[in-house]
Amino acid sequence: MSHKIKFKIQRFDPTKDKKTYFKEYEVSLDMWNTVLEGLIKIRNENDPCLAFRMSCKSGICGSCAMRINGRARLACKTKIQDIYKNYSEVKIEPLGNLEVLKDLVVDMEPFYAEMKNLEPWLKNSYEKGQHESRVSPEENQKIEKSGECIWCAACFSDCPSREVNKNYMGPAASVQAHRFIFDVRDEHKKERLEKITDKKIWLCAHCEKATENCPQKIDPQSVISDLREETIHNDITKTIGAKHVLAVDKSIKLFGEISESWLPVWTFGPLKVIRETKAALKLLTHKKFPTLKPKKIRDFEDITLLYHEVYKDALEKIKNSGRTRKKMVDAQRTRH
Amino acid sequence: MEKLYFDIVIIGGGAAGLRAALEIKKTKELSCAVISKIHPLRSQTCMAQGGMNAALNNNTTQGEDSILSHFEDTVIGGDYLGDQDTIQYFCEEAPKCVIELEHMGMIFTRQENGKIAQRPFGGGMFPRTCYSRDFTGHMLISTLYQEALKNDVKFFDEWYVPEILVEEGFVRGVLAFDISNLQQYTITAKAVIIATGGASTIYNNTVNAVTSTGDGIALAYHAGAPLKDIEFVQYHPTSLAHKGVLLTEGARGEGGYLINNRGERFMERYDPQKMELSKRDVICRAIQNEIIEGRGVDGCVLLDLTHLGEKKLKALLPQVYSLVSEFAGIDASKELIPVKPAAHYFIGGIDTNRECETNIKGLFAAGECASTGIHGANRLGGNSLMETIVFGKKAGENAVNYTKNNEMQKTDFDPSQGLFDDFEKILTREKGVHYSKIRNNLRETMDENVGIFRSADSLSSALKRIKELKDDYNNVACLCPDRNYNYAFFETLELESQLTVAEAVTTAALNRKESRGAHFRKDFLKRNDDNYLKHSLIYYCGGEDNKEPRIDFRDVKITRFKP
Repeated sequence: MSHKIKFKIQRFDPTKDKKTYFKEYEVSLDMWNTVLEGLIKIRNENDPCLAFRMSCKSGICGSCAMRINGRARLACKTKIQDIYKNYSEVKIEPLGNLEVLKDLVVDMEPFYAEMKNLEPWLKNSYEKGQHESRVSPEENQKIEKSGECIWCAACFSDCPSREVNKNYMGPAASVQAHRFIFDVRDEHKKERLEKITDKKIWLCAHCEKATENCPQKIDPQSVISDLREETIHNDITKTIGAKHVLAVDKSIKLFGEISESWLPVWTFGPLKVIRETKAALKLLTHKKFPTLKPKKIRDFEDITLLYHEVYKDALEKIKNSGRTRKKMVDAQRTRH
Repeated sequence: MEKLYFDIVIIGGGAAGLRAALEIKKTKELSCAVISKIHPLRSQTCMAQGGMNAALNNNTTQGEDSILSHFEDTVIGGDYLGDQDTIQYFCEEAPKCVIELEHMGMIFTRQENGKIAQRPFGGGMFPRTCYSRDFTGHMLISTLYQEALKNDVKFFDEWYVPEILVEEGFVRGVLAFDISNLQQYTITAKAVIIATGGASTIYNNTVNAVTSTGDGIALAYHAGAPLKDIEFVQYHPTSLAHKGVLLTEGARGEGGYLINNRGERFMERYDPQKMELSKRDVICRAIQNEIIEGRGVDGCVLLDLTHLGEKKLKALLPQVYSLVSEFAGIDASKELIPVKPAAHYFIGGIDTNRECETNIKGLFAAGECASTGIHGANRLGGNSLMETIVFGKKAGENAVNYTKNNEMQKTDFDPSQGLFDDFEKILTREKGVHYSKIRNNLRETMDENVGIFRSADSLSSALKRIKELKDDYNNVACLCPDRNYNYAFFETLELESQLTVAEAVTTAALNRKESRGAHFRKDFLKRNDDNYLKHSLIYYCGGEDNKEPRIDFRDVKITRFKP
């Protein structure tokens, strides 16, 4: 059954307009039609100059990534009924964090540059011979998911860390790095880990937007966690992020809890902490200054045992925690 | 008008084009450029799901595979219309091409022993389809593009080629538009490789990308190269009904059933030996028959994957599982999936020999747009992805040899005069026939008349309609005068390619008075080896007088397997 669906689309033609503006349309569509089908209809019947990219119409080429009602996703996989559950119009804007070239077409070059910068190709020098390299199904499974990335930039678009710091490579590049770092055929793991550390793997703010947006359901959040852990296992610990992780570990081992006074010292170093004297004094006057001589907590032995258990299953736990988070995000997604 | 020069120009950035570029890059002293109307990662290749065939003999659960067996299956699968010497070459090269891809880093699904896994596919006697769950096309193009980045391949993304320049039987280069600003370029080149894919969008009922419009096929055709076996268009048996989304043959390869409204696995009546893994043309006709005879469900049949279980589905067919859920709200582990055949692959194309050469010196073609003759009258699933690699590589190799051994002829040829005027007319026309109207008309006509079942009546009526639409095209308007990212304008140019290819397909179909492989005539039900064990060739004769295309035939090369 056809409905009159309202579209509100951001327009911008740099050859004519000084700034972006919204234009409204009304299209006859079924609830099972997709946003892309709506856009095509608008261009064919209404507004021939509307510019947007598309190709496969089945969610695998990545051309039609755009912000739909505030969230970047593929227009060809977004059904009208998905939007109309919560909104009364389909609001479309181009991807974020990238310059608008015309209407919904953005300059993807900075995104591609981040991907290329990581040298996304296999690097090894062992003798190959006439047969394939052997990769076990378990080894393969480790990179199958991150290998599914279609470079659509839906994650990159809404990444707040990228928005405030252009030196952060973004979630897609992290996923791309993962695909090679954990490929058993690649021989440049340490180098790659150094590279992603330089490109600020620790800047991810855990906002979960990448995981929510990814049309391939890759869960960049978990991927980034995996990568961070891998940097520490490979002794790359010069960043604040890594130092913080190690500081938490140390604190729990020593005191059975997180010491708010010692954590900053171990994370930032004593010199930096001294600069925070003003804040420290404020805490003192409000009697909220954390003790400098934390005692071991009451059930310290239990904590130690627990901690050893955790350490033992640490890798398992981290993987599982990613999946649990993903389950929650999936549940939330289907609610929309 | 700006001028550029490259030794070799490749039109199309899909698997075939990229593989050709990688081959060319091995020769350091030649310059090469890949021109693609979309970013290479968005190419049709990424949509392929199922896999690529090679007689690696990794999966010996059903006995020992061999190149000979792959060869035989391909010949029989093609209903004996394939050139057997080329098929043999293809099957011989396939295994090393797959290994080469794996060495580049392509992610393949693996067996327990770490080797590349192989699964059964339609028309094959052994499980020889190498795959990457159901993302094979995506993994292939990712690997090739990444390798191209590593080798610093020069790309012109979102540039459109409206014309190939040919002078006295030699290729001279191409014209190109930058889609971002409509800047015009003349690119001179010694050799040109066309790798632009197929034209399944001449049908409304298709699973292919909107960009699959046959531009390269039309370019070669207009330049004087004939199209071979262009009447053979493969329908894929299982497209998700009403959505135009492909569900891989791998679903049947992993054990899926096809069911009619009586709950029967109806393939038993059509091919009891191979059942759901019969040749694609047999299955498509079977499905259509079931529907026509009233045993369908809402114009479809049902794909049953429920017995595979959720775990196996998510492990081996994750894309199918997710597509069916996202596009139709179906849980494939619990419910049946409505499917029907949809136009999918161009078996025929630009006539090339085993060396990817056309009849124009310096012009090569590879991939779906080309017809080397390996698929005959029907392509086996898994042979197309393999074809892009084997012949992409060959085209690259031969383009290099040609370039090294031929001097650029001095020429006064200046193509800039007048060629862009037509385009300006379309761009600025304020009143005319809207391109989407002509296009919709064309696609409906092709669906109705030039689909799985054809007849002299249906084909003649289609041809008449196509000519009327070509007339309308003389007055076509895109109604947008913008010079930047004017997709309406480029869709109008693509429409010309679609009309050209549609006319060629229909004319060739009318002239093949037999049924063979994917070409089925209700008025000529039998295969006629006496008169038609030949390739059809169609030549463009249009020009000023708008002459009818010329049809010719060429004997099929039989070396080993007699029909």
